[in-house]
Amino acid sequence: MTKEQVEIKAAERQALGKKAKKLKASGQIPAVVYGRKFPATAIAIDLKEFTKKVLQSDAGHNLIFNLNVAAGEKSKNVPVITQQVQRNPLNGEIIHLDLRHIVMDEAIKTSVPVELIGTPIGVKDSGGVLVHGLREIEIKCLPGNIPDKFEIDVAQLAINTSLHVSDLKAAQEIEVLSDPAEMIANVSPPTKEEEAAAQPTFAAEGAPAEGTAAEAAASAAAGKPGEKAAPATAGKPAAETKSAAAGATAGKASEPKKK
Amino acid sequence: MVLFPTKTKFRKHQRGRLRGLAAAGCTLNFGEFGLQAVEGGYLTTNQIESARKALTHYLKRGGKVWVRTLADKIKTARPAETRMGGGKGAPEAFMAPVKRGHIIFELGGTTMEDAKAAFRLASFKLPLTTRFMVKI
Repeated sequence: MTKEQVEIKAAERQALGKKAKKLKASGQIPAVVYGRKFPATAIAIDLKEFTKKVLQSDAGHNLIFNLNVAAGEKSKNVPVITQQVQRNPLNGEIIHLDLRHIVMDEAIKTSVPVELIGTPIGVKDSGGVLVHGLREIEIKCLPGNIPDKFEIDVAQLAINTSLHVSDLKAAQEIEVLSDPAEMIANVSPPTKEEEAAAQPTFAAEGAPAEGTAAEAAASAAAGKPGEKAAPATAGKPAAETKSAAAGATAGKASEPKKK
Repeated sequence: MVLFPTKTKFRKHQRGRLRGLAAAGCTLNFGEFGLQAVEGGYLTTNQIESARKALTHYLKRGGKVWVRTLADKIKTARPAETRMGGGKGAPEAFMAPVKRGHIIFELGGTTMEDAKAAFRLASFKLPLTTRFMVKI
């Protein structure tokens, strides 16, 4: 739990829906604050201030901060936590925020990041690759007990061994909700350069080997490169067979048609 | 290595549209680095495999590669020098429809410099504009 008391100013906004995009010009982003004991309110927040004070803090999105919402001449302080950060998938820009009003004596669900510490034996000695599986673990606890992160020592991991959620030692007051069988870290053998991989092969008339591309690939590998795969029409509806025959004719007629 | 369907329900597919941003597959889920499509288009199995080989070849024994696209759409083509008509062309290859923002490859267990260099080589094998991205 973070002890710093961060306060961020926000203003109720009238620009809803697509009009909210105009806020971007003034360095603000649209957000909404809601909770079980707080009505959903559309607000606008200064992006730079939020990024610096909240997202770049030690607790990151789990930081509990005071939101000073100004509505006309009145303003009120609300303790909130970041529920969701929506980003543009192409440039990573924040486009919207969901802030959740919290009550300090009510347990909440949130996700806490995992940090792996140390270099595994499997990486040092055997040249394996450390694969980070689950990066955030879902927990349920009182807002005051949310840890900044879970630190997990992976120094003893050998090649082809894993650490799971069940291996995590969380404090008693924290209930871990993630599946205990989920993998957090694993040391896997490095990717090897492979020999020629199977390529999809299509039958002579163009059907994807009428069902199985793998079979056609196998027959090609058996040393019949010149042989054209026979159209497997058995068990096909009449219409399908007809179209296959038409396809074969079209494929054969490589010279221009005479008129 | 490259995945494609072994059996298809229909012999030929309609092309469809690739407008807008990718709704899924636009966040890094496995590795620390990714190669993201900045424009939409289609990737054939050959292109995906060629780019994947470029990645693993550059990284030698280090790193792990995840391929986040699946070529499950059939591309058809007409034989060369044939006139129009006579129906749709014959199936030629499998291709993966890729929308803007879709992550094509992910990479883990390597340094950022190596990842950048490997993705640079891989991007030359692809017909789309791509960008390098790092997990936030």
